[in-house]
Amino acid sequence: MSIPSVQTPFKRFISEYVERKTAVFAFLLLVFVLLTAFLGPFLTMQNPYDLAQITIMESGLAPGSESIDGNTFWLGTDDQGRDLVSAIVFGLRISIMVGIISGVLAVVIGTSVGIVSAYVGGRIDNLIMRVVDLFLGFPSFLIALICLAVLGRGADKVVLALVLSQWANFARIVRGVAIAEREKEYMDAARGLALPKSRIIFRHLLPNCLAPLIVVATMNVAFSITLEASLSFLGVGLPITQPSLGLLIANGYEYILTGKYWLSFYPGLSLLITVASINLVADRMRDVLNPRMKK
Amino acid sequence: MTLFLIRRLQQSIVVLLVMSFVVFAGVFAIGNPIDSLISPEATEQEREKAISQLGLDQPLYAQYFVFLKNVSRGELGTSFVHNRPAIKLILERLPATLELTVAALVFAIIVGIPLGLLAGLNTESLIGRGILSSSILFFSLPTFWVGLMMILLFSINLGWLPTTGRGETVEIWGIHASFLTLDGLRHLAMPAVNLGLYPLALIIRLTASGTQETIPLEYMKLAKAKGLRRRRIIFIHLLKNIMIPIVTVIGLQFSVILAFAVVTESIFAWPGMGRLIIDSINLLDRPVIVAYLLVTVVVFLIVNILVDILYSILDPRVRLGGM
Amino acid sequence: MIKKILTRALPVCMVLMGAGAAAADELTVATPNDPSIDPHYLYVSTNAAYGRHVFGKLLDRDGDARVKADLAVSWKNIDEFTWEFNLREGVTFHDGSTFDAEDVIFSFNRVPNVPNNPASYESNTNMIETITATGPYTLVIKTKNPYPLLLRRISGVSIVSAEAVEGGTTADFTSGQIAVGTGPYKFSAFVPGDRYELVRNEDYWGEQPAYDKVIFRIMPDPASRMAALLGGDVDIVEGFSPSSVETLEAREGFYVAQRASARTLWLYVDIQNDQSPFVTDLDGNPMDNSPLKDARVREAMSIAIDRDAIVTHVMGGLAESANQLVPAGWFSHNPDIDSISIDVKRAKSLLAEAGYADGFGLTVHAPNDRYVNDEKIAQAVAQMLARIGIITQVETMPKSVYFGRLNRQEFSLSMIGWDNSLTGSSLMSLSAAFHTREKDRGYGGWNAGGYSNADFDAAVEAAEKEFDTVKQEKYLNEAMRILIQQDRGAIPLHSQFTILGVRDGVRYEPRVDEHFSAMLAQPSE
Repeated sequence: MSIPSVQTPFKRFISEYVERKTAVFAFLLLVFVLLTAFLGPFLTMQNPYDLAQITIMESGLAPGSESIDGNTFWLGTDDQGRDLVSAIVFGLRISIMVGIISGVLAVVIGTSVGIVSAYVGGRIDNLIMRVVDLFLGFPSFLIALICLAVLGRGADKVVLALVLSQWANFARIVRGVAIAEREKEYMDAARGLALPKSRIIFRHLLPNCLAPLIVVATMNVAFSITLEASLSFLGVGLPITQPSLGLLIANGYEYILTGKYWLSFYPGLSLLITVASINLVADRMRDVLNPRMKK
Repeated sequence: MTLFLIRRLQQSIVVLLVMSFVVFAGVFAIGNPIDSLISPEATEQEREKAISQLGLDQPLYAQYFVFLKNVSRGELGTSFVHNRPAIKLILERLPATLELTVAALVFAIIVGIPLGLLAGLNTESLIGRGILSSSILFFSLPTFWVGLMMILLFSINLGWLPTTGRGETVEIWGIHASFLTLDGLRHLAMPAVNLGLYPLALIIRLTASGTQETIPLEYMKLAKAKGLRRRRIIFIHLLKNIMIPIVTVIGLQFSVILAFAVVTESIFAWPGMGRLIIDSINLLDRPVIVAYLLVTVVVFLIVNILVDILYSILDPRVRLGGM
Repeated sequence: MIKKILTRALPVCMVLMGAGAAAADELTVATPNDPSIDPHYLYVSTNAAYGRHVFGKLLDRDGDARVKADLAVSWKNIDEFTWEFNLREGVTFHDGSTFDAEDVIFSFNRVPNVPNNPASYESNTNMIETITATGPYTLVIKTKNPYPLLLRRISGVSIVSAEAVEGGTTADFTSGQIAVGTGPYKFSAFVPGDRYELVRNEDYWGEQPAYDKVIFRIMPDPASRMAALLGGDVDIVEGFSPSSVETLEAREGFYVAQRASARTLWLYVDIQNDQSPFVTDLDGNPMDNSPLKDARVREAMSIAIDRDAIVTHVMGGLAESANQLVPAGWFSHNPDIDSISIDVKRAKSLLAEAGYADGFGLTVHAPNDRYVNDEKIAQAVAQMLARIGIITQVETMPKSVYFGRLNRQEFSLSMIGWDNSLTGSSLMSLSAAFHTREKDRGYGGWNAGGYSNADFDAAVEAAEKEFDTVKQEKYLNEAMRILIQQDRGAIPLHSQFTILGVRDGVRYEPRVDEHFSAMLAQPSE
């Protein structure tokens, strides 16, 4: 880093990121997964959430079987007769959407609370931190589980439960970072200029914490997807007629010893690919962004 | 130290009070256990009798008040489903869950630290990168899926390990433990590994990055310059330095793993409190849910204190009072 | 990959079977159910099944749901209100004390007085006015009203030892301290959530069961139970999933024990409300005049459902499609009711006739942890209704939430499965689930569709008082005809089977009431 560079920070980030082949591969994989999730639903042979389009007459068919109207179920069908390819594509979309919305929302809410708390300080800081402690006193998984037991099923409820169970973690972390930042010189300078508080927070404090936050948010999306899958496995979470990947695995779970392996194997594989690619990308991002790692 | 304990305790009591009310109100809102338990042969009158006998016809605040009164006498209420003190039900199953959680962590530490060191010392080699990449895979695997795959492979295909359950236990100080018998260990192995995969990934990564960060530091160079043996450098100077973040994370992870034990216990039919809480949530057995949360918070508290003490041992600069 | 593992697993399993199988004198059962050791606490069928091992009753129900003698050897009606019982002499409890009439009276009195009991057994005793001992081995029971069902009812009352239990609590049963009965097995150990162990009562007055020791392993997850069976850790799996039947039957070393059970599933339809909570027009707005009130719509819904497809594709063939609320071959099964066959065309024209040619919106509700494949059945029903234009959503929930809402009539179309083995007839389901709600008289406690018909009510009440079984069956058949054929007040689905996975080397005959009984298991050969 001692050589003066004319590159913009973003370009520098890219050029460092691509040094790792696994990371590039993971990034391409992630792009593919995202494209599948968001464009795939327009291309599948059926809408697996429309009950009139599926029939239990075609339930549990093996991969490669033919449907009544001549299509091929490349990955077989599930116990309700859904084409597994369509179900995975739609499920992927729900899983990723739940993961992104709740993962990002938790980070955004936690960050805002943490920064405000750190910057305002005093009594309000104290109060906010008590509330944060309240949430941190329980494992996030338990909070989500109990929330969903109370709220019932639904994508919006899962998002709410996931946000509720995770935001406090980020509030705590960000507050720590922000307090450290607050003492730095550039903040003194900003205060010296008598800028309004909100401007200091959003134009100066936040951008300086941004890089690690992006990494944390990305990893949290992956964690949210996994969490949602675990909750679905325990029977709380998304509605059964609109299965996410987690629910597809859970539904196929009882068939795992019966030879109808495709029911949970392929959704499981899709989940693994999705979560692993997000994590690998986030991991490389962290390496690149972490100044201490650079030699 | 005492001051620190008292402050921690105070905080936890507030946490518990608020949480107990939230759970109370939540469970009150969903329904009551009578509806799921009473037989369809029962008449309307019998149902009303049962509801009033359990005090469930009272308004929310009255029920909560009764609960607080009982708590002040050291009682957490009687399980609606089991008709036994809720706290007793939980404490009966706590050892099994703790054993599983600790075993998972021990597995993660024993396997994770050497792998992490290996990866950290050989960042650019194939082994190091392989270890780090596969640790991300461990992060990403859904626990329940891996659990059944393990049963499929090790119990049904290879026949090495029993499928489920806790096996033979030995009683020490009135508590049953599996890890002291061979049969118990064989039962413990799969669930512990299953539950330990997540912390394993975490520890590998922490150790690796800690190693990477420590190696270039001055005192390490000094140690090398002094001609100390490589092994001594790694095991004394390096390890001691990176233990602090690892201990912290293990402490934080303890309660996470304790909670995730719910999933593992239900796959391996492990008779811990995780399964009890799932059943209790399904049956709306409120006293048990509240008692479970209480116990979790207390365990969490104790672990936190232990971590702080360990901290001060590892790093004499940390003073407990000043936290 | 898994396929490969499974095929390779076969020989290993067989080796395991030979080496690891439990000794012939020990039976290990994987069950999803945690027991209550106190036989008077928590009246659910699984507890009744556990109770039969340790405790005797005056009369019991055998595997075919017929009344059979247990601690009473003979009985007779003195008049419509009065019954006399002669008790078995020379029977001892597991703690060595002698059984007599005082124990019976103590037990009957304890039933309604177990504290904090969310599900009391008292529906089996509350018709009794007095119970008195006329000698150490003779009893007289007087009922409040003429009550022909008494003999079946008292089979729900376990007899405990008065000396041992006096002053004891449910917790004392759980610890095993006072869990003494007269049954074929004795309490040995209980670890909640893990295992319940019984040993044979060598002093049992009746036929000795085949196994010295029975171990119930409590395992709520169906896949884990299946794995335990395949792994050779257990001999029998209770609550076996139909989806695994094919696999198990294809395996060497195992078989599936099955039997048509007394439980029939049907759908309640909200007949009462003009504005039914989950009925909407096609745009999702609530409707002021619920189509469900029209019998033609209800008939259309019934014939839109392909019951055979549900039986084949959801239940794995292990169920029998139903055209009424009791299974074929049972007392009070009405042979004159037409069988229901799927007819989408006619269903559509019936809907059109009723003025709903374009269909409407509806939600079907079901529990997800109560009946065999309940959640999947609800989805299949929704598919089939969607095909005639009734756009149907599915909402499922745990039974703890479901049954409360069902009872408060919060649903428009909802699933229930009724076990008819208590009365051995349709009487219980008709009077509890379809008689007009009359709280004071104890009728209609589960009338979740709001069905009400005076002729139907009269027929049910007549049947209830009737001692002559031929006449009683006539009344019940008439009531069933009015409900199903005339009013279409419920949509029958199917009767489910009891399914168990069993290791070769153990012979097991399932009971019709789905209760597991170790007394019905024996080593083969």
